[in-house]
Amino acid sequence: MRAAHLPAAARAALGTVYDPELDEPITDLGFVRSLTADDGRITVHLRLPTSFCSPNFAYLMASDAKDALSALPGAREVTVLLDDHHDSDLINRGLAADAGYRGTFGHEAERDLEQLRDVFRRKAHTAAMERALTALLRARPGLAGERLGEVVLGDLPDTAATRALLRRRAALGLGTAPTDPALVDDEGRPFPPGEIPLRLRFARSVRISIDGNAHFCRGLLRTRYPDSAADQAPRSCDDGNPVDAAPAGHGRAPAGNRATTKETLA
Amino acid sequence: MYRKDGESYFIVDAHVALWDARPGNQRNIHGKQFIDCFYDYHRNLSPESELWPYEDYLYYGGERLMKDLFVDGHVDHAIFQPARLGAFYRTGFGQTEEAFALTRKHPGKLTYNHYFDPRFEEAGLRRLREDAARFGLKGVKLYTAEWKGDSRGYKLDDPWTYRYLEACRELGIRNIHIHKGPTIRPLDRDAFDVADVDKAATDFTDLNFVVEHCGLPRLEDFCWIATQEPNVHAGLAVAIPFMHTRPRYFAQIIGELLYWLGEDRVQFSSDYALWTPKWLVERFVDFRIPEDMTDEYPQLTVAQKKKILGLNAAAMYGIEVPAEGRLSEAAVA
Repeated sequence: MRAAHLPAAARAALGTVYDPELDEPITDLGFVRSLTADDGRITVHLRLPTSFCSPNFAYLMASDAKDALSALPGAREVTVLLDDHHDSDLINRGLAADAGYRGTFGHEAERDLEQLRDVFRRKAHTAAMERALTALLRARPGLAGERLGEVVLGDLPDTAATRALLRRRAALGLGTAPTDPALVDDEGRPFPPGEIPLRLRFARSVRISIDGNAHFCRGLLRTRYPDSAADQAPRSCDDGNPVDAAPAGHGRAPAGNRATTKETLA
Repeated sequence: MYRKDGESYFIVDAHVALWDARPGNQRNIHGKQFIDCFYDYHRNLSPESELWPYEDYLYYGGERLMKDLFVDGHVDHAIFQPARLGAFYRTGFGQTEEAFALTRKHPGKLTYNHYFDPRFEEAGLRRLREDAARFGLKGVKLYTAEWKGDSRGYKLDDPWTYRYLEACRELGIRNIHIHKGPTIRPLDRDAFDVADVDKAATDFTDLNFVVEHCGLPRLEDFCWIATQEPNVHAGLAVAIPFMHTRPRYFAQIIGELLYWLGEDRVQFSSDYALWTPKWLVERFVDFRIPEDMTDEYPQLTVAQKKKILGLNAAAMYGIEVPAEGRLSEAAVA
């Protein structure tokens, strides 16, 4: 790789690093404070919306950034620093020593962060599924919400929302064939027909929660670092719909007037 | 009592604090980081007219609290929900003695809730009994991400927490306010997960579990457990100021809460001094779900607003509501 290309390649590599909680690249969120790439030496400073953002997510993003940059052909020395966080010293020491998650956090780490990643891959899938299916309901007013269980991936129009759903399914290891049902649980199983309105309704809460957090985090980052505004890209929400667009009307039922099964969400 | 358009609203602010975050009380850099984080929340979500200078925000004292809540803020009764944060502040963040003295000086206006930390084990249990007797506790505030030694948090379903909850039951402390924070052991899992609240609420059905800021940033997980546990409630701290910056998002939050929990288990709180109650109360009374969203979320009713702004918390804490502020029989039916 020619030296002149390294900064661009480094930025592109950082664009593949996601905030798992917000399901967005750290570059779009404005979390990359600075990037220098000179003679194979790459130095990145990361910043977060508060000093008290979860240290596990902070570590994940910083170590993913280091991995992505270190994989670049022209990278000889990669330094990733997390600024202004309550665990900055701990995390920066761990990153410099390539100590890994357990080596960085010691007794506070039990095994690894894979389970945490999985929880948020599942949430990202649920939110993407809701976006795609709500868009379908909007586009086809005749389609009853209760019949969403019959919708297969091949029925979904070729939109950004559908492509985003397929990516989230692939990330979770779920099928992406046109004949696969679209409304499924975390394991790819369709829901019993009686549960469909409730499940779609719950999926909407997941989507609202993630989108809401993404906007709040963006705002807090701008409050904390006014110059970050210029670095932030608007949240795409995958389908071009503004986050606050009115969702289609279905699944309304008074609280307490609904049977739910006692189960924890995986 | 807040009066508007012929209606009277009895206001209970279910989450207020009297903190001291001045440099002299900061034990280390984390004391500054913590209050700066609060101040950014304040700056990010407040209307410009309600912004405080940083100096005022560090410490405001009891007199200003009384004015902001009861003179200017329309509040009829407020409940202290202190966080100790002993690892960050020398005398703690919440000022116990000052707040309790204020409670005694203004009978009927303030309720003092205290905290416990199950990691103090037997000694802490003894302390809880003394605190319950001294403060006449009806509730406790638990910040589960409190740092203590090399531990940075605990869970509600830890065996020691269960012993404390058993003591609460015995001592008549019925209201458990839970504030989830970002650090907890092990870091392998999501710190904001509310599965431990679910377990405790199932095992202590005679206690109320009020999850502050309605589980944000995990609104969905919170709604799911609250649907299944009738003794789980939502505190609106942090969520309610979104009325100003992002009213459509707030409409979604309140719409989801009313859908999943219903109108009897949501309670107003300003989180003072993160925000001041005056503008929150006024704007919530005026708040309407935007017309193009009413397909999905029914418009809020006056009765729902009265319950959320005060009647729900008053019922939980046994606070007497003057006849003017009660719901008419028609509204109850």
